[in-house]
Amino acid sequence: MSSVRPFRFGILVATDPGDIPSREAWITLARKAEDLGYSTLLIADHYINEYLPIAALMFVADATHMLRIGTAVFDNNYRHPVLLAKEVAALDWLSGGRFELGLGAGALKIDYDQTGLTFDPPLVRIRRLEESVSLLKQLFTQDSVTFAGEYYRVTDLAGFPKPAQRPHPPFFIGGGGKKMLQLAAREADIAGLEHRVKDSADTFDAYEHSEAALAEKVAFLRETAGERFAAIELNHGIRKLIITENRQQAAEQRARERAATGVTPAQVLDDPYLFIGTIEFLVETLQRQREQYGISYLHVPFQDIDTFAPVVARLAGK
Amino acid sequence: MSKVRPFRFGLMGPDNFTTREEWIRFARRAEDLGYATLLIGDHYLDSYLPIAALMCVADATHTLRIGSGIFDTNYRHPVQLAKEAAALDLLSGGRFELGLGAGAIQADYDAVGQPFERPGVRIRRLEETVTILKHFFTQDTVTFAGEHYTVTDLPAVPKPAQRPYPPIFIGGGGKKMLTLMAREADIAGVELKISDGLGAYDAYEHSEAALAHKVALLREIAGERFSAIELHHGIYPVIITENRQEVAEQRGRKRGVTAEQILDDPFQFIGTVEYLVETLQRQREHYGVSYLTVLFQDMEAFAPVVARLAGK
Repeated sequence: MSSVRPFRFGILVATDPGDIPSREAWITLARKAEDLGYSTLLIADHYINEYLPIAALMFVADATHMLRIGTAVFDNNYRHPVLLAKEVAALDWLSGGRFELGLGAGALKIDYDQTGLTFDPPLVRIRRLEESVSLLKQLFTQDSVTFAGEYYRVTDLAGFPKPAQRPHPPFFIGGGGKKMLQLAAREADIAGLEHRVKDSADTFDAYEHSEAALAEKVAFLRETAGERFAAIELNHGIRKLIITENRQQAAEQRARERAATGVTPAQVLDDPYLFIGTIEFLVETLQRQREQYGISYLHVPFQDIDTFAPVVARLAGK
Repeated sequence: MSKVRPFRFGLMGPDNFTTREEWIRFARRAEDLGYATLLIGDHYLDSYLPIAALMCVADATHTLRIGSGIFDTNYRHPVQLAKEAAALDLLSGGRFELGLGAGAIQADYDAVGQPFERPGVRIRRLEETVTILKHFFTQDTVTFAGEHYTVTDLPAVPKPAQRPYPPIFIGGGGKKMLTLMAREADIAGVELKISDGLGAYDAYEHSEAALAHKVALLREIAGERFSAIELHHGIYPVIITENRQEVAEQRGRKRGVTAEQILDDPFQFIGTVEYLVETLQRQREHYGVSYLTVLFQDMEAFAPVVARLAGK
């Protein structure tokens, strides 16, 4: 590794109805994340979730002192980049520079089906995201922006307000396919390594869920980013955490629950997006993955905030 | 008048702040001075957008209400608007007022390359948006098939704190907009009718007669519903002076209109505090307008009027 980054950890808030039922519940969650040593509270951007990110993230920042806030990730197709830039700049300086800008190409077709929006082919969505990233960076750093792309056209627009973090808040770009990794290699401050999203979910792509696939993505990112690689913080999201003394038994149970997808217990144990084992095993796994792949920033579902806390206590900032 | 509503006053919020501290100081000062609301506009040119800034204002205050002044419905899908609006209301403890408009400033659209459609299309889209928002706030799931929007089996969460929903403020000046306000608004912002070109000074639109006509039209269309609607108009700017005539002549020269036209413009307030207080009382008596907003830079100048009339 070029340099070893200290570990940091986030919680990802993707809410089902009733998960966070009140103002008080948001305050409790935000302060708990801060107290337990989490670095970020991230909110997803799906119409199927209860909350969208903007108002809720501002509220979380106001309820805390050091906790960073971020999106994981803004669906680029929902908002014009100028609208995004202005709300993001406000989130950043109203939070005292604590915002991290997660962006993605849009992944869940159901979000689009429910709201009657067109879910364009992946290449179109990615190309639109690329334009959006260029435009956002210009709005954050230039006094006046003129941009003529395939999807967006901006003329003599003042980039106002400017964010507090200069030149801009960290860009978190998440994805799993080559095109997304290329974009992350070129533009991201934080690269979110994901398994590739198929447009129709509910099938299990065994290779995408293997450590070999994760290793391959990191290698590709490193190769594509070249010298820039050392400047990129690598993130990956843990979808499910099972703390147990008996990994084999837990894996067998998980495989049985997912029998329809044909997943085997061995595949469950090899899936880097699942963490099954003791706290000690998780700590060792994260240390090994940081050594091998450089991944130093992990996020877990907010429902696992307590379960994962001992790992945070052991590794955050180390 | 069917009944006299107490006066309340709002501020059209800042567009030039560069620090968090400025916002917090401003919001707390507005609250201390007795202003009821702080509204943030929704324009791409040279200003803030409302969502994050309004949340920050609510978090920095206790009783001040927050509002969009007003959301341009063409910027966001109604479901996006519904979810962020409900979150603002829930997280502010029920202090949000949902301002909606059809979009008015063509320059916003030109700057970002979005088509600025003809008023009929924009107003129709706003009508559909209002319907979707009300379904979202009051039903478990939303299914809607309109001309501009389709929503299918969408779980309608989060729910706002205010039931059935935050006050819906609709602002406009043309007949179609007044018709929509009469039917759907809790607060009707009686505004200048904006010609798509902007720029030109339409003397009739800036007269008290035009305001009177709009209110009469609203009353006629709303029927029994009229008494449930709070009437609003915006004042841009407030000039406290002993010499109305001189100030009106200066302003008239700048805009190429007569001093009389300036003095007859209900959207400009020129005079002593005593004169403004009397004017507002008279206008409330004649037209029922009880909710007024001024520009943020007029907060201190207008404060004596707020002190005299707020809640009365």
